[in-house]
Amino acid sequence: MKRKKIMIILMLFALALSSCSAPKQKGSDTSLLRMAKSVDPDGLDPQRSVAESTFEITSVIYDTLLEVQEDGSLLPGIAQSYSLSDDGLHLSFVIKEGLRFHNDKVLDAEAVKNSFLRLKEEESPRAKDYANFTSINVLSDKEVEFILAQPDVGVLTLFGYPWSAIVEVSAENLRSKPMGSGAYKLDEWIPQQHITLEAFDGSYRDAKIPKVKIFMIPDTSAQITSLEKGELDLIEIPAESIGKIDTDKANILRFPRNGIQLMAMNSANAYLAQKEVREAIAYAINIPDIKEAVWNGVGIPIGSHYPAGVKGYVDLTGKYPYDPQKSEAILKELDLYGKVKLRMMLPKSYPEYVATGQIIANQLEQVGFVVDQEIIEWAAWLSDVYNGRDYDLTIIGHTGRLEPYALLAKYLSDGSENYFNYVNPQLDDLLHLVKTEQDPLQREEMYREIQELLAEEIPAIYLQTPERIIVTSKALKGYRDFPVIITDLRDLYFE
Amino acid sequence: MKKDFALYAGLFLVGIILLFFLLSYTPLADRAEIMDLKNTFSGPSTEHIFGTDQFGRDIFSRIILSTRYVFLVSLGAVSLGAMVGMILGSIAGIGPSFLSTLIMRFIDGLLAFPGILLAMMLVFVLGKGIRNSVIAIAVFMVPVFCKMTYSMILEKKNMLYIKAAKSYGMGSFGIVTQHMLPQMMPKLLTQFTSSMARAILTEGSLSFLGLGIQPPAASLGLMLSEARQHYLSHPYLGIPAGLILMMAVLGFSLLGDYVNDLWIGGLHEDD
Repeated sequence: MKRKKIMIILMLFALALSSCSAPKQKGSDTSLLRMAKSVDPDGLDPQRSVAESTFEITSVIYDTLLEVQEDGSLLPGIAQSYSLSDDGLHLSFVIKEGLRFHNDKVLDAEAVKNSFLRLKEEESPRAKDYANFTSINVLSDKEVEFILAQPDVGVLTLFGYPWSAIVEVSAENLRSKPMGSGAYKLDEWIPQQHITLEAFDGSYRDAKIPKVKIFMIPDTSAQITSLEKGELDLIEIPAESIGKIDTDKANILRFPRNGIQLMAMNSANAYLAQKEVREAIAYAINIPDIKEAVWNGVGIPIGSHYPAGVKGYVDLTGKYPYDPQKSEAILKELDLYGKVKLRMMLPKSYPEYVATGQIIANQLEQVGFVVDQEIIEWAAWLSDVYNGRDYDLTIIGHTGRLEPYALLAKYLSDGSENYFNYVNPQLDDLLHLVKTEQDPLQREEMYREIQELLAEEIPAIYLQTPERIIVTSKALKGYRDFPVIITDLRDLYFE
Repeated sequence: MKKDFALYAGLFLVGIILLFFLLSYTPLADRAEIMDLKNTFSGPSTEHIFGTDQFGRDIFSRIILSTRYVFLVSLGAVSLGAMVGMILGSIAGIGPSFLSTLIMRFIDGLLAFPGILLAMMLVFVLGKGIRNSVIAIAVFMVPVFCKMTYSMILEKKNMLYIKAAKSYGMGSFGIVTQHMLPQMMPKLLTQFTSSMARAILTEGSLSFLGLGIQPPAASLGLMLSEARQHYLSHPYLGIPAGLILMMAVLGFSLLGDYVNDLWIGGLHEDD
């Protein structure tokens, strides 16, 4: 009986040990890149998913017509060249010569057309972004033309996003057997364990490292330990873990993300509609302290609704520096000291926004505001705060797109996403102008004006642009970061 | 021997909780909501006995403030639940049979829900906050008190002294309050003490899930839930709140057991 027990315990041990499938290869194999991700992809079909974890991997396996660069500009990818007609309604691409999918089928104009037709299908979550294309015509083997229903200044960006990848439509089960033309092809995917990729030699730009293995390791601390032991080459970590990295053993790379974090103030509230009250709030908040306490000092301060690091960004920080006395004085002058009661709604799924909110509430109470905090579920936040606009203050982040207009359109007075309830005819005019302006220089000038207007009027308190933190082994070089969810492993190499 | 141990241990633990409760009315609790962002996650020191949390707030102050809320919420909830339960049970016991069926089936319905689920549901309907968590916890305390009162009234209903009181023309209300309730008191008090332990635990769970006491106020469950976000980097953060919660629940359970043995179980004891 006793022996049986011991046997069972031993077997359990063996089972526990065997399930620890941490990366085992050590040392300096320069032909293998070892990465870790914390979440398994939601399938590997870029046209049928909205998950970041999917695009991080599909962007390696598939190609897009245009390639996004680090600053958000676009260079030709599969396309050799493109041209947009003067009326902005005809967009045609010439495809590069001799391209093939991983299964050796030819990638020509017809394949591009079929791929976009599939992207426009009902099952595709991004279909409505591409609804503006009324028809796609194959002009020749190498040339394909998109017809637009109405002009769109951001039309080119639609061909750089990872979901616009060209897929081989006749291949079966793209979800688990992706078929693209990218520099790497899928070798093996064992869900919850690892994904292995092999370099594909038919790509228009070859990868330098022949093999990639991506491990699924949910725990950040475990990822860091493995990397420092030399079992991994590339990981991404959250801001709060940055202090745990031993910089003798690893390199830390920091990049601004294409996004912003802010505290929205609902102008439907009679107090918050007054600019003086909003100013008092701005002066009361100590953003550097919050950054230190919540994000470990990681993040780039911003002064307006525009991500730092994106083309056209203007540094407008410091317009309302931390000055609690001034804030208190404004409130007392308006005879509102202790009288302004605000409801702050915080989304529970984002602990860092909840923490930020708690600190801000504390700082506001010190100068004479009354703040009621409510921590609510994400679904409730979306329905009550974002769509229902029933709140006074809330903390949230917004992800940027390649064309800044998509981010700024929230401020249109009659916009469906104007959850600030902010109305400013001057801003409306600028937004309408920028939407139809074709000249990029003119547009940049308008974006500058919009940023200055928002920084002055503060319909929201702009906190910061978050940063992406990449940790690599000392030998790995050539990492590039992009303003959309794209991984590009082609330029990576070991020194 | 075993009995005495339960008494002393229970009294000791509840005593600590009571001490914390009283301390929460002293200036010691004033620091509970003061943030010091330059001094976060600091370890125990003479200035901060239990250290500081992620916002640099004094953990000891937050603990004693939590004890106040936990104690008040549980006491309020159990008292309210016991009162409503006793009234409903009495009505069911002496009222007309259709009323008794109606009430008891309703109570059966309440019993069919797991307690915490019922409390969560009520919080969703009523909204969050201290008052509503008292009500939510009270509702799930009602069935046990109601059933208890009901069964004891049925048991005593046909006793001779009750019949005698009736024959003198005493009303139902008087019979219940003057002749029955005093006799039920020991059992009800026992139930009251052990219900306290459950109420404390439920309050902790509700706050942990973010449905009870809302920040910036302090609550043991809330502190545990906040500590959970930082347990990889600062694993000790949740220990004080967890210990106090455990002490409160254990203290009231032990005390309840002792009272139970003394007043009810004592008759059946072997030794």
